[in-house]
Amino acid sequence: MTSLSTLFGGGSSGGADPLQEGLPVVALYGGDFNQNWDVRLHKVHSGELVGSPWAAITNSTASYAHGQSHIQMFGYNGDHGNLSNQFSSQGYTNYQHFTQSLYQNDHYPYALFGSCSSEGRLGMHSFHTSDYYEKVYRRINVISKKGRRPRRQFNIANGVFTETNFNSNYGLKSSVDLSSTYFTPQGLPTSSSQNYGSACYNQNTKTLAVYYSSSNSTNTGRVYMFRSTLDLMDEATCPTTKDFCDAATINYITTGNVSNWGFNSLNYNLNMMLGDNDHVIFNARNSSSNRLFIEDCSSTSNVTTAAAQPESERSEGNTTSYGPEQGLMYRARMQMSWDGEWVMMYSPYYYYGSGLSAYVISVKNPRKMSYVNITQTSGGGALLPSGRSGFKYLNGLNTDSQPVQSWSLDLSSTGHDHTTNFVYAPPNYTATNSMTNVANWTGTLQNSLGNYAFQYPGYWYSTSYPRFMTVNHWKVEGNYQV
Amino acid sequence: MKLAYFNEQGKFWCWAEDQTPGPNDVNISAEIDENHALWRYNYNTETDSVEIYQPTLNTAEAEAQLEIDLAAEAAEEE
Repeated sequence: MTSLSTLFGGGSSGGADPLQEGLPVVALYGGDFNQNWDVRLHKVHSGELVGSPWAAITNSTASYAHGQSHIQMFGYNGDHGNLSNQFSSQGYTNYQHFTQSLYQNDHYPYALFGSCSSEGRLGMHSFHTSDYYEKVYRRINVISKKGRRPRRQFNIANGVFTETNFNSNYGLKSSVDLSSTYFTPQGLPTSSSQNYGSACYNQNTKTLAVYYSSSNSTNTGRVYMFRSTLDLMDEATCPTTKDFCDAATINYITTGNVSNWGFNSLNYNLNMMLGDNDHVIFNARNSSSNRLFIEDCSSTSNVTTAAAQPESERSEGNTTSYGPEQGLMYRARMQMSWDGEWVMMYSPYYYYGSGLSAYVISVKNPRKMSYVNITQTSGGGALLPSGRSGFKYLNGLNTDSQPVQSWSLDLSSTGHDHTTNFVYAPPNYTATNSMTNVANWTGTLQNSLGNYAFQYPGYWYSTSYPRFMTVNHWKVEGNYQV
Repeated sequence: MKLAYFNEQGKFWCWAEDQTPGPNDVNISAEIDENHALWRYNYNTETDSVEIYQPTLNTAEAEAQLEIDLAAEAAEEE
């Protein structure tokens, strides 16, 4: 008898989660965008091509489309993405360039400016409207179970916890005022209610962590922990945000100095990750500085006095860059490995989307951490989950006469014990190479870019800057997903 | 000046005071001025020396020059 898990894409092995996807796939689209352009889907870890080509080829407008789909915004003369000019310091309003930005993709199954189906049907938003970036304004981070990605969109807008239509800032589905419904009746202190998406839901523990500063322009605040019996991602048992909160016990942990600049300067926006052990990561990107803080929020009773300092912190300098203070479309992002055991909290190295400045963190134990820095200033790129337990940074540099360059990290052999070194597979692996390691928390991973022609061939022998977009459903092939 | 390690592409990897490469890691090092933006450094393995992009310019001027160079490069390739 065919199991439900197989019917719903879970593969043939027993006990697979029916909502589990196959291993990650990326849409690579490029060409010179003058006369020839193309879309391909690749398995991220191996570069294998998936899907079937079906696009027509036409010369009616001197624009030749190849590959898997028609891209309406990149047809005649590259109206919305001329790849003959390279992305570098341009912002989100630059429709000629910003599809290359590192900000395009994160752990959600759609990109900032568009989405792509599992068959390679790729659609771009109109660059003349605003909702394409507002959808990330107050969206929260989500730690998903193995092989899943968030399929509902929850937002924190000051004191209000909402669900909106997926991939949208609009289309309210449900909302609840946390302050008047829970904090005040339960005698939990509130001061500043301002919050722009500074929260993380962990599906493994059914817990939501939300951060509020004590007042404007202060670096002390509180993490409110909602430990529920319902899974926020399960619409059948948890149809509204109030249902989730009603089924939760709530307490707070007072924190000190977890943004280091005073929260006001960051527009109340911290990139947060809630680990399985209730340790909370705060990632704050402000100008050239990229900071990471961790606090133990496992107490189930109120903690009324902040420790003088966070449990641990790390700071890395970059170059001229921007964060949420310049607009929430520039907020630092989170990416998650397919197995759900690792995240990368990341932002660009340079301006609005080139290079990478990222912390690699264990979900099981966020005190297990290392850092990587890719000092590119042009071309943009994408940070994506790769294989079962890894990540890949695909670089958007010109592929004239060369393949797409990439940085890869596999964490299959990396333990979660923070008292041991951070062991990892280096990105510059050769036949004589082996595992390497750096000190936990203070170590910096190798940042060499590989040049694997088989994995990601380039486009044409002409100027071409590739774009990348996550695919909204990763098909199961064989038994890849377990 | 501060001792830095570089990767295979000649790009900055890490400061020597923070960590040392393992036995299997690329081991390219040089002293650099920590006041310059790291992206401006490139280790040239052919000459075994560090090059800095537009050494006479400050960071803002170097960024502006980078934009000009990228535009010129694109125009040349078309």
